[in-house]
Amino acid sequence: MRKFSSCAILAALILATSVQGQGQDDGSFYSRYGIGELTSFASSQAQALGGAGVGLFSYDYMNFSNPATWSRQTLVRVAAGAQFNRLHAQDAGGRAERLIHGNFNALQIGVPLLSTRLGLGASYEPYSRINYEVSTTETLDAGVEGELPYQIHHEGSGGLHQARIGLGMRLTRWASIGASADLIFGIAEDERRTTFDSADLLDTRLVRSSRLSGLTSSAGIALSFSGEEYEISIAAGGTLPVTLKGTQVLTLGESLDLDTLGATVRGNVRVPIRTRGGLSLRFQNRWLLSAEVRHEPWSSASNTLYFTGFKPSNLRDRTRYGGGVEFIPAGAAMQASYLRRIAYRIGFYRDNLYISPVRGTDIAVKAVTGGIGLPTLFFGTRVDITFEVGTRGSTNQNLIRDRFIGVSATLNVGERWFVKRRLG
Amino acid sequence: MRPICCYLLFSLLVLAACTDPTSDVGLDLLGESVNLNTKSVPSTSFSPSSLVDITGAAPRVLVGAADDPLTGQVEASGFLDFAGEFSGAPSDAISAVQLRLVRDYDFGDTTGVLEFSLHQVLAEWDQSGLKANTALTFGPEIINVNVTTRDTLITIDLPTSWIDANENLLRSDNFGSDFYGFAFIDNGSGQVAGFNSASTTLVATSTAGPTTFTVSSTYTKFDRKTEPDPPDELVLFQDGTGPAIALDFDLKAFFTDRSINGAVLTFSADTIASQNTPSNFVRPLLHRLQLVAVTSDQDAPAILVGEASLSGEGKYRFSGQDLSVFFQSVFLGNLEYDYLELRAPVINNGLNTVLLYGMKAGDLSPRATFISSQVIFDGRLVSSGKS
Repeated sequence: MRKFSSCAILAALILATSVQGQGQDDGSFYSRYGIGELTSFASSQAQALGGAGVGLFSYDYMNFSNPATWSRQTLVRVAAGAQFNRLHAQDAGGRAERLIHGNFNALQIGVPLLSTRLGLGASYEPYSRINYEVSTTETLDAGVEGELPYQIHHEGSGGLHQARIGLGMRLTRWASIGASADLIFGIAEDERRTTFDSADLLDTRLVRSSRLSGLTSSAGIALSFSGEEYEISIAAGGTLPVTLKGTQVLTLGESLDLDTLGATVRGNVRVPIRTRGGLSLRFQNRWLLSAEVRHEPWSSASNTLYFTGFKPSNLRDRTRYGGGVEFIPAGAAMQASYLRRIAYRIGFYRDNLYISPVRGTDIAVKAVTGGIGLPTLFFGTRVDITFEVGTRGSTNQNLIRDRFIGVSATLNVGERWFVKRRLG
Repeated sequence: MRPICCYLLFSLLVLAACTDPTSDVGLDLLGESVNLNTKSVPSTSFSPSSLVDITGAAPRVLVGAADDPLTGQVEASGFLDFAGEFSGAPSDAISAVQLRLVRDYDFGDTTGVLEFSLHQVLAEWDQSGLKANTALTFGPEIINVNVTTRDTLITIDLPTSWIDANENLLRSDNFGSDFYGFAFIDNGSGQVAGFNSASTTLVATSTAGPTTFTVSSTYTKFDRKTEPDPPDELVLFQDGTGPAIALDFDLKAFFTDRSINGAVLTFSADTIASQNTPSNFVRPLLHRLQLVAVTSDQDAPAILVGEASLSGEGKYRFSGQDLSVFFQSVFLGNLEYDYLELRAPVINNGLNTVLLYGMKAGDLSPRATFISSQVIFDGRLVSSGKS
C-alpha cells in the first residue's frame, strides 16, 4: 500500500512539471493582470461542492480550506491531481478563440499524529497562474520606407506557488483549531516579442521577470455539533496579509544576446488578509451540504513592483461564495453495490477577480461544479473526477468573456501507517 | 482500480499536451502596447572633424596638386614599395629599369600638367594604419617626370646612374626587404592623379629578359595648403585630406533603457553644389560613407557602425540590423563612445568630395530615426494602492 501512495506522489510530481509545462500560454487573458489568476484547491471533494470547504470535515479527504479540519484524521493521506481546461474566449471586437491548457492541482499530504485528535497537513499547490498569449500583425508607416509589417506577441507564464505545513487539533468534542505556515514563492514572466519581415529591422524579445516570495500563516476554527444522524459544522478561517518581497528585471534578447535593461528593481507586493466562513451539514452519512463565503479586501493591496494593471483604480475587493451538495446513496454501507457507494456532487460558486483591466469594473466568475468520487478496492482511497462549467467576465467595455469547462482527476490515497504489530 | 487511475492520469497528460494556435483575443485591452512608433532625433553636432585619414595600404596612391575653389589647395605625395625576385642569374647585367604606373583617378584641372619628381625612400616603413600626415624620409631626386597626356599608362625609365647604383640590390634575394620603394613628390602639378597599385609595376630588363616587381606597400601623404570654403549651411566632406565630419545625437535623453527595433541615420547631400566646378575641372563625388563611433580611448580603433551609399535622391542612409544592435548596446549602457564620425572607406583612397546639409537645413538636416516599441514596461516606475 505504501508503494501506492509513493506512486501517487510520483505521479503528482510528473504532473506538476509536465502538465504545467504543456499548458503554457493558452489560458485566460485575465491572468495577465496583477500577480496572475488566483487559484486554490482545498480538496477534490470541496472543489466539486463549489469550493466550499471551510466547514467540511471528512475522513476521506484532507481539506486545506481550514487547518482545523486536519484534526480529524485516521489515515495517512496523499492526494494529487491535475486539471484540464477548455476555454472559449471572446472579446468585444468579436474575436474568439478556443484555448486548451492543463495544470497541476495540488499535492497534499495528511498524517494523523493522534488519531482524530491531532493531525499534520502539508501541501504544495499553485497560488496564482499567469498563462496567456496574444499576438497581432500591424503595419508601421515608416515614411520613405513605406509600410513595414510587424508582429507583436504578448505572452505571460509562470506564477506563484504555495507550500504549507501545519497542525489541526481537536480541543474538545466539538471544537477544533488549526494553523499552518504558508510559504508563497514563484516567478512570473511577461514577454513581448516583436518580429519583422524586413531583415533590416531587429527582432526583439523583452521579458519582465518578477521573482516573489513571502511567508504568511493561516488559521482556522471549526465547531462541530452532531447527533445520531447528523453533524453540523460551523467554521471560520483566514490567512494573514503577506508582503511578498522580490525583484524584477527587464531583459532584452533575440537578435541581441539576452541583456538586462536597467538595474534589477527590488520591491514588494502587499497581499491582503483572506477570510472565510462557512458551514456544512451531514445527514445520515448520505447527504452533505456545504457552503462558504470568502472575502479578500484587495483594494487595500499595494505594490512597489510593476505588475500589469496593479493599481488602486483596478483593484477590486474579492468576495466569493459557493456551496454544494454531496449524495452517497449507500451512505456508510461498505457492502452496497459499487454505484451506490459512489459520491455524487453538485455545486456552484460566484467570484470576482481581484483585479480588473477596466477601472471600477468587477470581473465576475460564475460556475457550476460537480463530480463523482469513485471508491476503490483499497479502503480509504478514492479517485475523484470533478468538473466545472462557467463564465468569466463579459464583453462589455472591451473586456473578454471566457466560457470555461474544466475537468480534473484527483487520486486520494489513504492508508494506515504506524500500526504496531501484535506479537504472539 | 489501479489501471483506471493510471488511465485517468495518462488521459490528463495527453489532453494537457494539446495547444491551440496563438490567440488574438484581448487586443483591445492591450491598447497602444501593440504599436511601434518612430522617433526622429536631430543631430546635436555636425561639423568638420580633425580626423587624419589612413592612406597606408590603400589600393591607390595619389600624386600631384590641385587648387580647388571649394576644397582648397591640396598637395599629394605618393609612396610605393616593391617586392619580387630577380629572374636572371646573379651575374646578369641589368640594362634598363622602367616604372609602369597605371592611372585610374583624376582630381583637379584636366588641362593642367602632372609633374612630380621621383625619389628613393631611405628607410623601412610599415603601410599598415599609416596616416596621411606621416612624413617618410627619401633621397634626392632621381628623375623629374612631366606628364602632359591623359594616357592611362605612364612609363618612367629610370636613369642609368640609378640602375648602376642599385643593380646589386635589384638582383638581390633580399630586394623586398632592402629596397624601401619610391616617393613621388609633386613638383608644380595642376592636377592630382591616382595610380592603381595592383597594376603598377617596376620592370628590370637584363640579358635573361624582364623581371617584374610588384607593389608591396602603398601610402599617400597629403598636405593641405589652403582651407576649404564651403557654402553656408553646407558642411564639406573630403576624402584623404579631410575634413571628415564629427556628429552626435542626444540619444540618451530619449532612449535609455528602450528596446530598439530599427535605426536609420540619414545625411542629405547637395550634389549639385558638390559638383559645381570650374570648367575642365574634375571633382569626383563621394559615393560611399562610413559611420564610425570614436571612443575616448585614443589607442582603440573606432567602431565601424555602418556604411551607406549615396542614393539617387542625394542621401546617405545608414540602416540595418548592425546599426540597431549598435544603438541598442548604447542604450543598454553596454557601449560608450565620445562621438560619431563620418569617414570615407580606406579602400577608395581619393579626394572625392561631398557637401552635406548641416544642422540648420530643416528637413534636410542630419537625422536619426529610431523604431521602438511603445513603452509597455514604463510602469516599472511603480504604482501603489492604499496603504
